[in-house]
Amino acid sequence: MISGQFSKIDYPSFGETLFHKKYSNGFSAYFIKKKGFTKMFATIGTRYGSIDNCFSTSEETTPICVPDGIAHFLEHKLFEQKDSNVLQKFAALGANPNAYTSFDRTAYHFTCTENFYESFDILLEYVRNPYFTDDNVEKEKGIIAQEIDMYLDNPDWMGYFCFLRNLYQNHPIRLEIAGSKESIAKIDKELLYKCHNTFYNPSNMILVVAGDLEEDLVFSQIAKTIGSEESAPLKINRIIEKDSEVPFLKISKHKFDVGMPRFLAGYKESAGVVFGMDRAKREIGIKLLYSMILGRSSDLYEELYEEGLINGTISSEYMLEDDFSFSCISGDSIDAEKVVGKILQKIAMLKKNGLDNEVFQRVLKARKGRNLRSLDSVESFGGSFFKLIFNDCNLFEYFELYDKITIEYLEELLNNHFDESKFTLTKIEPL
Amino acid sequence: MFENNGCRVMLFENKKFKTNSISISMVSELQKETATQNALLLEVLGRGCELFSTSKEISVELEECFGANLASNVDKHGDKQVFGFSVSYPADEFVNANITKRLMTLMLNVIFKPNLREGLFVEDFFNQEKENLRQEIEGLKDDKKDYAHDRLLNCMFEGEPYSLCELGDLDTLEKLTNQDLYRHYKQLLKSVQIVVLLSGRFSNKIVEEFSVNLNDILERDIETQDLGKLALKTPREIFEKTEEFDVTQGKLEIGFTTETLPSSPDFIPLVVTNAIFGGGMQSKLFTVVREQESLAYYAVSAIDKFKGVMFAYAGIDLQHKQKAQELILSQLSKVQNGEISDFEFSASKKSIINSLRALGDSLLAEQSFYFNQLLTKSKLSIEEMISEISEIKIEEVVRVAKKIKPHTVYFMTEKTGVAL
Repeated sequence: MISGQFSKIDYPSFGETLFHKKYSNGFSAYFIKKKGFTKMFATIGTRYGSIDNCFSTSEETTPICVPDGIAHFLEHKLFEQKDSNVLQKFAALGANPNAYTSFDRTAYHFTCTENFYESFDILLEYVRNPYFTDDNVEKEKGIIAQEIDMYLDNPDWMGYFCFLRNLYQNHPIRLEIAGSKESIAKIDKELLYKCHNTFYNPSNMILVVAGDLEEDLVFSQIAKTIGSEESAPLKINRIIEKDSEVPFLKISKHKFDVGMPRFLAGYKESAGVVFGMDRAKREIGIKLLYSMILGRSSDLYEELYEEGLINGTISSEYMLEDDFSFSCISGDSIDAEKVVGKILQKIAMLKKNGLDNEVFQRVLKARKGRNLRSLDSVESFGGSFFKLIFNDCNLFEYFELYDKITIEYLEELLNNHFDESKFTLTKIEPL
Repeated sequence: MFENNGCRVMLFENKKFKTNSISISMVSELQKETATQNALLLEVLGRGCELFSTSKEISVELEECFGANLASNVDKHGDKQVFGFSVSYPADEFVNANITKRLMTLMLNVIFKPNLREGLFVEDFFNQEKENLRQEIEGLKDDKKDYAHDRLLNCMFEGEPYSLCELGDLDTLEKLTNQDLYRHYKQLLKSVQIVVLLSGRFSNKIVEEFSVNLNDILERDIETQDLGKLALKTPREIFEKTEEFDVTQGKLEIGFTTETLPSSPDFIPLVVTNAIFGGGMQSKLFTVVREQESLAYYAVSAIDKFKGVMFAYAGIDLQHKQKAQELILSQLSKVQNGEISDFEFSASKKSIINSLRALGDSLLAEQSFYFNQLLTKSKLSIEEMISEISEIKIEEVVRVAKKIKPHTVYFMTEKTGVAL
């Protein structure tokens, strides 16, 4: 249904309403109305992250490669404007801004409980208007060096990268998001402008707003700023080194100053095969399968726990993006090989005997209850909506997909994703 | 609020959310003799009860209750150890089922009707949880940023209850037997103060029923005690300690005494002082230590209201300890000398007000705010705090800031070679 210039979609089963508009310059904006909430949230982001370190565009066809960590560096530096610091402008309004860089996204957001539209103006303005100088770029290197060192002392983070380096031999997902002290030393203002001009094109960006706000005001403010910006959509060609279909290493061991040995294990998968709602469905399916295989109510979890092979912290995640895809199981264990052996054995058994419908129904019911509860936070729901919408999937439709998942579909996924030739194990051992 | 027999049942009605939450906490003195036992007890109770004899059966029941999330929590709030269970789940009317009642039954059963064998906890459960707790305590050093803070507390509160870890210690754990733990449990039930927080949508009838059930199950008759007695940390000459660990980055932690508890009229000015000094990106620590001097990625301060102390911490290059320490202390001196810009003053107040206003948007944040009010004997509501902060004068901030004194400086540095 079209209401004014933007479209409005009601989701009665969740009691929520979504507004959306796509602008002629390719920019997309979404607004989730959250009646009765005090907190207001807005986030704007771009399809640009740590893996985008070599690229060409429809305007500049010669590929260039930039120093590792530049997307994250750029995220830090955007907060500095010609005559002011953006953080202080937000602070003067009582708003709370932040930003993050992941493998393939950079996002800027703020939350507030008053002065929303003033803060919203700042957000829409600063991400489009960089101000880099030799001095301010140099100064940031000290701060980021400390951020890099902070991560070096964090075994959760370091362990995750050890796992990624097991999976991928050439792919830039191997690289630290913030880069290294050596790589950031090479960053200068010209490179930053180049990356900004390339990746911060409105056609590469998405905005999500959530809160008890007026849709007319939200969209009119966008129309006055980034929505009416005249810029031709830019075609970006990302040059990402191809990787083998199987993991680079089957197993690796690393030492850290930790109390208990840890492990990370999982399956590599070919990326760039499924898109949009099919991708969403696959993601839901794999997550449900993991709950069935080793969730807290599973036989396997009980067995591992009672044998003292895990101590409660075993978790699983699944990543399915344009350029990389894998699942990851992680936990603490004195005998990672034994844990992994039992997981593989259980998967083989399920492949042979099929899945239990009672377990499937129960896990599905639990997941739906949690989906419903996730609507209770303006900020985290807005953030999750934002992450998904980049893959052409809206979070309400994503939740509705749960009703369409069948046990047959899960059995198909079970045979397709859990391929032992694509399995890898990373062990983190105490010093 | 219902108050009887050492139990408080507090209801926070909130119809904005699709979630309900029930939390049952036990509040006892943080003591070396019992801290480990309380932490271990919680884990053993989570393993099974009369109605659901194993963790697996409990997990199945939680999934049947639309993915309810049961968590055990153990924490220290000043010299008190707070431990118990909480469960969050979709409110009944959104799932057309009476799961509130089911989950209340589950919670009471888990805490008060454990799975016993021959008058003791199931031996396997006891042994497994003892080993898991050992692993958890040993894992506390894994995250060096958090661990540096634990080490500061250990130095700053040496010989006091607050230096103890809320999970207990390895020596005590090593010696614990199933008999000891069960004896402790029976004793605890007779005397421990219990606080129940219900947030979301609850009918009066169900709250009343729950309160009666709780009272019946306890089979005791004790006084409901004041939980808000706090021990204020007193100042001393500054003490410095450096320890070596396997780190790349230095972790600097400074503890200050403020001589101000939440029940004091000086508390609100102290909250504003902290926001100006290091609480947020409008603060002096953020602006000077991070943005101007590029010494740190994080440089922040925070108040511990249960002890009347304040902390400042930063992750810095190993070579910059002295410089960072001097810079941090000089920023505090500036606040004490009234060198506070209009921007710093007004943005600091706004930042606190924003956080307070946002509390009402989170069931758990609001719940924990009021629980802390109970433990600190503070009477101010969120609205009253907001109005006090709006009206505060800069002179009050300066006066209260002048009471702040550095007490302990802790630095975690890299390991050097072994000297001969």
